[in-house]
Amino acid sequence: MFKTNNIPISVVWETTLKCNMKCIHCGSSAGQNRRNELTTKEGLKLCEDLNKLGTRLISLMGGEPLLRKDWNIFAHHIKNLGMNVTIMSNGFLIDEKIISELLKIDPYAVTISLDGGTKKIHNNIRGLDTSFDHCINSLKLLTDANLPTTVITTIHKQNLKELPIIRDFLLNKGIAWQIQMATPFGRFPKNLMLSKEEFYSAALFISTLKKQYSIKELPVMGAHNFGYHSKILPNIMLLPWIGCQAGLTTLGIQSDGSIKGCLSLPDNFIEGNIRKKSVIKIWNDTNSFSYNRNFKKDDLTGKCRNCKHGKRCRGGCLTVSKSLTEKNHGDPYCLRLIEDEILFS
Amino acid sequence: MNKKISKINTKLTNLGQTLGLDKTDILKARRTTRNIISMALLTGIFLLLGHIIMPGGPAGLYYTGVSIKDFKILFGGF
Repeated sequence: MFKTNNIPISVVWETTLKCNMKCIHCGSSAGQNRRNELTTKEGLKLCEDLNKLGTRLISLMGGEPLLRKDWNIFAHHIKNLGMNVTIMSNGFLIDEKIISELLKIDPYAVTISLDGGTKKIHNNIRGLDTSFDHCINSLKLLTDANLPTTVITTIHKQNLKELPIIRDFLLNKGIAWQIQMATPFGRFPKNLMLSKEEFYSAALFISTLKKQYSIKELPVMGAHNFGYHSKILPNIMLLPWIGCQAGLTTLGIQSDGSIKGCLSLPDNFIEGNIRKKSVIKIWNDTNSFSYNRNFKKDDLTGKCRNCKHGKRCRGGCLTVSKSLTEKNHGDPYCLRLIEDEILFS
Repeated sequence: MNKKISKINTKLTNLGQTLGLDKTDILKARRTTRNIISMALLTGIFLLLGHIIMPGGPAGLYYTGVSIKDFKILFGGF
């Protein structure tokens, strides 16, 4: 056992897999609780251990995190330890009472999923008829309370064309907007995934918004699966891409205490469980997260092997790479590769 | 060369039209030496300031769930 120099700066904790929606793109097939979800006491200890590791931000995610009765106990504890907390919700349960609690917590962000600009599309994707109205109402409550609010839109074939409607809705509202691509894991069927051309259209859309509107008017960004090293488009993420951060600066915790570098990765990426070994020991074990910590250029797969950015990029998003090619470090949804295929050929 | 650029621009315009983008806006959104340099400088300056304001910098950018606070750390208090 050795101590690593890596720090899990940002941690996403799936506090429960229980969910009141049944989204078509859900990578963890949320709905029912996992068996043996962490207790309040175990969760509080987990926060203390993460604080000892140097974590700056813990994002409480689900399922739907607000379905746990102790969600606010965790949030207050995280803040009292001196870390930041983000709540990632579908917005359905947010009412005046929750807003009042959130104001006391002072979160880093409250993120709400909005997957359609119209009721029909959003409700169909979320599998719940009243979800759009609740979502819009929660955004109003959050912004009226001046809480830092983010909309996350996960795109696929069913909602790609909703982006302009969502843009018009979010304009000048002071809401951050993160656009990400749905990846075929969990409940999401591969046939609904964007084609490479559709993916590039979405990247072009984000790039155009960033040029058309100021940060104040529309703070928008592409998530980590919207890259990399395009020859045509400027960077549409906010920071330059320096490779997948799973197990380097980020960590994912499942509701049963299982640890992964990123929650989106499949279960064969589980490094251990905090009930058997503390998160401190798992993180500091130099054998953990080997796919990124011990990455070599020779590990690149597919067309990434010949890319001049390969060593730093590490082949884009590991989850996308794994889900589409069954191999690590060779994400085919790369703007640079797509440009070679559809623009420069 | 011009023919190649024209072909790329046509393709970009077609791709953008899927989402109702205007040709002029699409072409303006392309990467330029100027926006590469200004982005790099801005990122450097505000990352440094961000680390001073909040250790760890714009923490929401490391993983999923960006915050308006990350934008403020990177681009100032707008």
